Amino acid sequence: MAKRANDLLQGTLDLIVLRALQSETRHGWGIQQRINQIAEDALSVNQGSLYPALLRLEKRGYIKSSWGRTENGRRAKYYELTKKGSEQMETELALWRQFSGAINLILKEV
Amino acid sequence: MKRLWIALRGIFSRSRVEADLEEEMQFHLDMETEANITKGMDPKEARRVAILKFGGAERMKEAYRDESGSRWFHDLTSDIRYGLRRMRNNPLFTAGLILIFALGLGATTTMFTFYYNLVVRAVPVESPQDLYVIRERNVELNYPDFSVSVPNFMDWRERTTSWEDMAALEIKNATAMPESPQGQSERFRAAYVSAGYFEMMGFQIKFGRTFTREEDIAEGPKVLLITESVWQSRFGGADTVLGETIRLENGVHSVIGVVPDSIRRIMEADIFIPLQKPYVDRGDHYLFVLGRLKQGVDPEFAESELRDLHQAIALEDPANEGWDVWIQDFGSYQYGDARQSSKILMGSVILLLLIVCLNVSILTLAQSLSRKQEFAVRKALGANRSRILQQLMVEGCLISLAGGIPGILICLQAVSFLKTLLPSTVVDYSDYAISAPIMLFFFVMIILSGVLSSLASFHFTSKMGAQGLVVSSNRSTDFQKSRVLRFLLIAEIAISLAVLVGAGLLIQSMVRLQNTPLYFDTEGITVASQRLPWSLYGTREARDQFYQEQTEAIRSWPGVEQAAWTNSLPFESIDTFNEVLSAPGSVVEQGEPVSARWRMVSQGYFDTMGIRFVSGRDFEAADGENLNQRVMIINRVLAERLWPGQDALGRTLSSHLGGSTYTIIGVVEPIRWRWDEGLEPAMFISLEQNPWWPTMRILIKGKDPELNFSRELMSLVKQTDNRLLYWYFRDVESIVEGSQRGYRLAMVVMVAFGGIALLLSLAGIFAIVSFSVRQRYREIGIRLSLGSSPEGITKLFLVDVLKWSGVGLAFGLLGAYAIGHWQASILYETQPFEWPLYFGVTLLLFLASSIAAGIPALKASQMDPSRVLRVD
Repeated sequence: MAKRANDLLQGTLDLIVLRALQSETRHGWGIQQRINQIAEDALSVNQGSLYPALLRLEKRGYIKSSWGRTENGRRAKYYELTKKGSEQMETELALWRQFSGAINLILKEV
Repeated sequence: MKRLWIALRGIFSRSRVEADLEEEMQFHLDMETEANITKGMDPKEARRVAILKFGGAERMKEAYRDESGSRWFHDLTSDIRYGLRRMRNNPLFTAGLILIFALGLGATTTMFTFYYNLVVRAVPVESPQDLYVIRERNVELNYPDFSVSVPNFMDWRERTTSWEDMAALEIKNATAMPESPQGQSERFRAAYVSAGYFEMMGFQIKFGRTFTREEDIAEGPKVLLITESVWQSRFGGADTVLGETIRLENGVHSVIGVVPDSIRRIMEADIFIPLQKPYVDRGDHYLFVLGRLKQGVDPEFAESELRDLHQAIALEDPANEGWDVWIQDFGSYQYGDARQSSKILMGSVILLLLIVCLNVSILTLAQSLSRKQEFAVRKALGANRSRILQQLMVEGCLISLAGGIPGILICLQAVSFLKTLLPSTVVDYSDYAISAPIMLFFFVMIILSGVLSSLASFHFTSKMGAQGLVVSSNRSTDFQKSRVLRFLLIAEIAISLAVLVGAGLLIQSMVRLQNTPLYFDTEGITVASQRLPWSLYGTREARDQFYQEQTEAIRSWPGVEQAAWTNSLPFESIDTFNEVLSAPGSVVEQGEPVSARWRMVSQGYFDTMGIRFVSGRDFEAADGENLNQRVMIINRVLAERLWPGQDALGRTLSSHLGGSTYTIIGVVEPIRWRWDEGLEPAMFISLEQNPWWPTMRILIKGKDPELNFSRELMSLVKQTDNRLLYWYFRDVESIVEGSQRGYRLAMVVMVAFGGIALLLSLAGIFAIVSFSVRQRYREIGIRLSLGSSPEGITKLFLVDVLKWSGVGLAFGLLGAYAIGHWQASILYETQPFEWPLYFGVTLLLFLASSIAAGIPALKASQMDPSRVLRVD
C-alpha cells in the first residue's frame, strides 16, 4: 500500500514538473520557482524530490537536459520537454482530469 | 537504451555525474540566495536561509544516486574498503580463512581441469556426438568387446542406410628400411585406414591429398600420408615432399599428403596407409571400426539395423554365428574409464568445497558472534537486511578472492603432478592447460564459495533485533543456543566422514590390488619389442633362426638368468583370444563353447616368468623341426575346463590358430592377465613352430649393474641385421604398475581430499569450542568460584559439542554408504559397505574431534576465576 501511495505522489510530481516545462525550458531552480509561483506557495516542491524526479524523467526520455547560460551569464543545467514527454503529459493530464473529476463528483454527492 | 547509458554513466563516470550534480546544487543555492537578497535580506542571512531551505545535501545526493542506479556501486566500494580494513585488523584469522579457501578452490579447480578435459570438452573431431565405435561381440565365448573382420566391415558399409559413412583402421608397427647399407631403420606407428577416414573424422589435411575409394583396394597403389613431425624429422619440412618415398617392409610407398600433428593425439600414428584389404576371412576379427550417423537417425535404430544385417549374413556365412554387433559413442568408448573416475572425483571435490564453505561459515560465524554489537548498531542506524547481506557477502568474497591466488598456484602444481598418474590407456590429446572455461569455473567457484560462506552469518545477524542486541550484547549466544552453528557442525562432520570413508574405500582397493597374487615374477625382467618384416624374413626357418640366435646371444650375457619371447605380456593392451573348435573327449564335443586366451611363446618363457609346470614339458628347439606334430601347452584352468578330472597330456585340440590340431605336451599353473578377471583359461603355442606373429617381445631375466640391456640389444641387432631394431624398452614391473595407475590416481586424490576434510572439521570443532569458552568466561568464573570442579567445566563444553558431532557422524554414515555405492565402479575387490572401515573411520573422526574439542575445554577449566571475572 505504501508503495502505491508513493507511486501516486511521484506520478503527481512528475506531471507537475512536465507541466512546468511545457511553456519553456527551465533550470532546476526555475522549475521550482514556477511551481511555487503557480501554486501560490500552497504546494511547495522541495529540492530533495525535485532533482531525483528530473533524473527519473530524463531516464524515461520525457525530458532532456543540457548545460546553458542564464541571462546573467551563469552556467546552469536546462531541462526541456521532449516530444515523447509532451505526449506523456497529455495522457497523464487527461487521466488526472478524469480522476480528479470523479473524486470531486463523489465528494460532492456523498 | 538511454536508461542503460545513464546507469552506466552513473557507475563509470560517477565523479563527473556527481560533479554535475554538485554544480547544479550550487547554482540552485546561489539563485535561492539571490532571491532572498532581492527580498531584502542581508547576504549572509540570505545564504543561511537558502541552505536551510535546501535541506541535507547528502540525503539529496543519496536520493539522486538511488534514482541514477549508482547507489549500489557507492555502497559496494565502501563495503570493500570496510572489508579490507577488517581483514587487516585480524591478520591471523584472515590468513587462516585464505588458506582454507586456497585448499578448497585449488582442489576443485584441479579436478575440474581433468573433468573438463576428459568429459566436457568434446573429442577433437567434427560433431563428435554423431561418431560411434562399432564393435562385435560374442556372448557365448565371453568376448564382450571384440574387433571387426574385414568382410563384416565392408558389408556394413555397403548394406546399411543409417550411416553417413564408416571407416576401419588397424594400427600396427611399421619399419622404414634404410636407403643405404649404412643407414638406420626407423620405426613408425602406422595406421592402416580405409578410404574416407579423414573426411569422416573431419580432419583437415595440411597439404597434398587423401586417398580415394578406388585406391583402397587389395594390391592398390602404395601411397601414404605422413604427420607433420615425420615431415619435419625425415624430410626437413621440405615443400617437395609430395612424391618422395618411404621404403616399408611391404614395398616403397610414395607420400601423397601431410596431416597435422593434432590428428596424432586421437589416433596415435605417425603414418597413414590405405587399408587395402581383400574381402576374405570373415572369422578374422582385427579392425577398429568407426561410423558417423546420418543426421537425425536414432542410434538405437542404427544399432538394430546393423544387428539384423549381421544375423542375415550369419545365414550366408557360418563365421558370423554367435556374433553380434554393438555401438557406443566414440568419446565414451575411448575415455570411458577415465571419464568415470573423473566424474566421481569431481563429485567428491564438490563435497570438499562444501566442507570448506561450512568451515569458513563456522569460523566467520564464531567471529560474527563477537560482532553482535557492530551489527546491532548498524541496524539501529537503519541498515536493512539486504544492506547487511551485501556487506557480509562482500566480506566473504574478498576472502575467497584472496584465497583464489594461492588456490590457482596449488591447482597448477596439482595438475602437473596428477598428470603423471594418468593411466597410459588415456590417449593424451590435451595438455591440461588452464584454459578460459576453467578460469571461468574458477571465478564462479570463488564467488559462490564466498557468498555461500557468508550466508550463515547473515542468518544469524538477521534474526537479532537491533534493540535487543544492544541491551544484551554481553550475554552469551554460544553453541548451545546457536542452531545455525549446530547445523553447520553436523553438516561438516557428516560430509567429512563421507569423504573419509570414500578415501578409505579407495585405499582398501589399492591395498587389495597390491596384494592380489599375480602368480608370475615381476622383478628384474626387462622387455623390448622386435618386429621381423615378412619381406626380409619370409620363411619359418629364417624367422625361427633369427629368434633362436638372438636368444642364445642374450643368454650368454653376464647376469642374464633366462631369456625368451612372447607376443604379449599380462596387463598389456594387446590381448588375444581364440575359440577351441574341437578337443576329442572334452566338453566341447558336447556342444559347450570354450574360448581361451592364447599366446605365442618360445622355449624358456615359463621359466623366465616363473610359471610352474603342473605336468609335461616346455617347448624345445627341436619342436621347430617337427612340424608334423604341432605342440601346445595349456594352463590348469583350461585343462580342467575341457577334461575335468582327467589328464590333459597327450590329448589334442584344434582352433583357428593356424587351423591346425595341436597335441598338448604340458600343463602350467594359471597366471593373472587382467585385474578385472580371475584365473582364466589360456593356451600357448610354440614360437619355434609358428613364428608368424609380426611383433614379438623379448624378455630378459636377470640384472647386471655393468650392463645396459637396451644398449646391448641395439648393438646386438645391428651386428645381426642393420635393417632391424629393438624398441619399447620396459620392465615387467612397470607394465604391471602402469595398469594400476587409474586406481592409484583416484586413491591419491581421494586421500588428499580426506586429509583436508579431516583437518578442516577438526579446526571447525576447535574453533567452536574455543569460541564458546571465550563467550562464557564470566559463567566459567562464577561456576569456578562457586566451587565447580575443573572436570565439571571441561564436561560442560565437551558433552554438548560431542553430542552434536555424534549426530553428524550418524548422518555421515548414511552419506558414506551413498558415496561407496557411487564409487563402486572404480573399487577393486571392495564392497561399498565394509563395516571395519566404516567403524574405524568413524572412531578416528570421533577421537580426533574429542581431542580438538578437549584442548580448549581443558584450558577453560584451568582458568583462574578471579582473572576470568575481570574480563569484560
